[in-house]
Amino acid sequence: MKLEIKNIYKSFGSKKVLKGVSFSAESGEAFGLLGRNGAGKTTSIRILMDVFAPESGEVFIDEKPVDYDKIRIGYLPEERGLYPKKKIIDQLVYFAELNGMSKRDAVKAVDYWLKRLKMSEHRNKRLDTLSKGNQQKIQLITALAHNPQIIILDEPFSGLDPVNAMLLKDVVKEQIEKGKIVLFSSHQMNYIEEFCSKIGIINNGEMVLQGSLHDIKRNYVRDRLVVRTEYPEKIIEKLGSQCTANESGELIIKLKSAEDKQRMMRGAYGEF
Amino acid sequence: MKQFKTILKFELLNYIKNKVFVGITIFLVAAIAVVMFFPQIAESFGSQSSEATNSKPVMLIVNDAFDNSDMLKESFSSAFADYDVQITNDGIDSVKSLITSETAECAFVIKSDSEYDYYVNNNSLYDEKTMIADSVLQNIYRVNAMVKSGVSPQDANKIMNVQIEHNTTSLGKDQTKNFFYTYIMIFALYMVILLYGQMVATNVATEKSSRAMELLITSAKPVSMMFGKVIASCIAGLIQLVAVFGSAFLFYNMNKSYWGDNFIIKSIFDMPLDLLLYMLLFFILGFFIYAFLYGAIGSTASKVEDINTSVMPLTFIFIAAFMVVMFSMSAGSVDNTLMRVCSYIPFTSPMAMFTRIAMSTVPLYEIIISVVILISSVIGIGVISAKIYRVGVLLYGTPPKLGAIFKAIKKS
Repeated sequence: MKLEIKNIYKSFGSKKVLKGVSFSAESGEAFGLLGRNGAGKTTSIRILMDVFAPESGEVFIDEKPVDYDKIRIGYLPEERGLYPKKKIIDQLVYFAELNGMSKRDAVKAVDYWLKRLKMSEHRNKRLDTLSKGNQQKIQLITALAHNPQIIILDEPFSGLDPVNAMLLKDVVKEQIEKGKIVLFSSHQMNYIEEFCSKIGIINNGEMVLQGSLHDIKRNYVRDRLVVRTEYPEKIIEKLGSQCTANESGELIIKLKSAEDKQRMMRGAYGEF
Repeated sequence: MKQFKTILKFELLNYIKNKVFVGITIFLVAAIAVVMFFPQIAESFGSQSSEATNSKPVMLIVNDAFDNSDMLKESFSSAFADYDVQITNDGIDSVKSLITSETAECAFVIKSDSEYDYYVNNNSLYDEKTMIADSVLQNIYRVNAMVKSGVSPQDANKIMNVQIEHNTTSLGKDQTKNFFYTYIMIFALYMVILLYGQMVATNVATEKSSRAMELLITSAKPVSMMFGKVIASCIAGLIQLVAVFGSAFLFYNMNKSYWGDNFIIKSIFDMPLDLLLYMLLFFILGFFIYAFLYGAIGSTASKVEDINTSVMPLTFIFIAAFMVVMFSMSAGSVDNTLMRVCSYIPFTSPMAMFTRIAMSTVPLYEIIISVVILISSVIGIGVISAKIYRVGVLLYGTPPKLGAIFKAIKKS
């Protein structure tokens, strides 16, 4: 199965949120959607899930316009939240049923996932009696229980301790191996790097960079040097307009070419 | 459709499993049980106490005007059957002290044939004794006057106490009979719609503030969500109404003999079946129209605390409709122009039209027009509300302005 998002435009009021976003992902593949807060990640996901219609552009499954009655999508929203005062099993079954499962299958699937995520002991508790990390694991079940073909995870690792993060990684890898399309949205590169063969970087509503992670890494011109020093003034004095300071006080030196790097590093070491 | 059923079931179970919902229903049924069993309870207590004390309150009469005290006592005794009327010759002061010590309840000091003083310990708001005494004395005065001009006392009495017989045949509706049940029905309609409307709004806002909405909106269609929620709360409301009125009816039948000929109670349970069906129809339609709007408003508030201010305009419309109906009912003119207009406006017609059907004779075509307008508005408002809901649930921050919402709906 191939999921394609083609040339999506969307604006809220006078604010243009998406200006021609396109990307694609295939079964058994994870796609990482990177971008800063407010870049348009969540809006892209919501359009993909038919929460609202785009102004122009379309979503395709296997070259055909998507039919939302036939496709199952699992979604872990960035803003986590379920019914705090309801029994966990009740609400998980409810969400699985809303996603098209029969009651019996839903109970079975939810119990499987509770066991898989080591949450079976909490089956009949109220959600708000659980810790935040555990609530997040419960929420993850809503994205997985109905055996979706496309899984969308928005910042799945935020708020998880290392043990649970490992557990989640295993689950995600397993889903990718099962041939699901997994869509990651995050602003943390390290997790994306671990699973995603393809990434897309979205900035200000535009896809600024997209392709296989391997290619991007290889083809990216390595002509920048980051210098951390106690005396940035001296370097600025010498190199002038080649330097820019970033937010944490480091200097970014743009080199004339990648081959220049060694020379510059040696020179910098000697001089300062 | 399956999704709608799932939502309906889930929401309905929410109500039925809710301890507050169950508690209120049980409390109401218990309260009604107390009211309906009251005459039976009162009788079993009352029979003992009346034997024990067996005394009527004492009413003192001081006669300073008439020669014949017996005639005075007889007239007062028949006018105040519940009192032990005693003629006394004691002075004013001792009469006063008898009243303050509560040996006697009240006293009339007759000064002349057209003047008296009334003494009572605590003058009640509902004390009508002076009015009765006025007419008793008037009667005596007139009889005396007639006797003076040559009529025999017997004839004079006959003339004064002539009984007129009359029969009322109501060709349309009898407002004396149906006033009470219409009143109760309208009040029930008002309470249930206001209560459940607010509940729907709070329910939606809670889902939104707990962010369960993020998941709901991606899992279910807004139209199924909206209709599922509203219909579930409508069923919950009906269950509550049936529980309350059903138990009232049951308890009434268990105590029928004790209530005897109590006019009000009898007229309440004497409701014709067709009116009950109209009640059901207008209840459901009226409920839908308001619940949809409450749901839509709830979806635009991002915090539960914002709900109260957001729903205010809608609640005002509803209260205004209720007021118009109530005033028209108590004025006895349910067919006035305002009520006629109100019975076609979808927001007011459930109450206005129902009242008119119950208390006056409305031509069938008017009812049909009103119901058709109402049904089409319910569908229209349902769809618009689902659209507002779809747009509203994803807007966080300050509640959006009306214009902004409509713009967003147009676009989606």
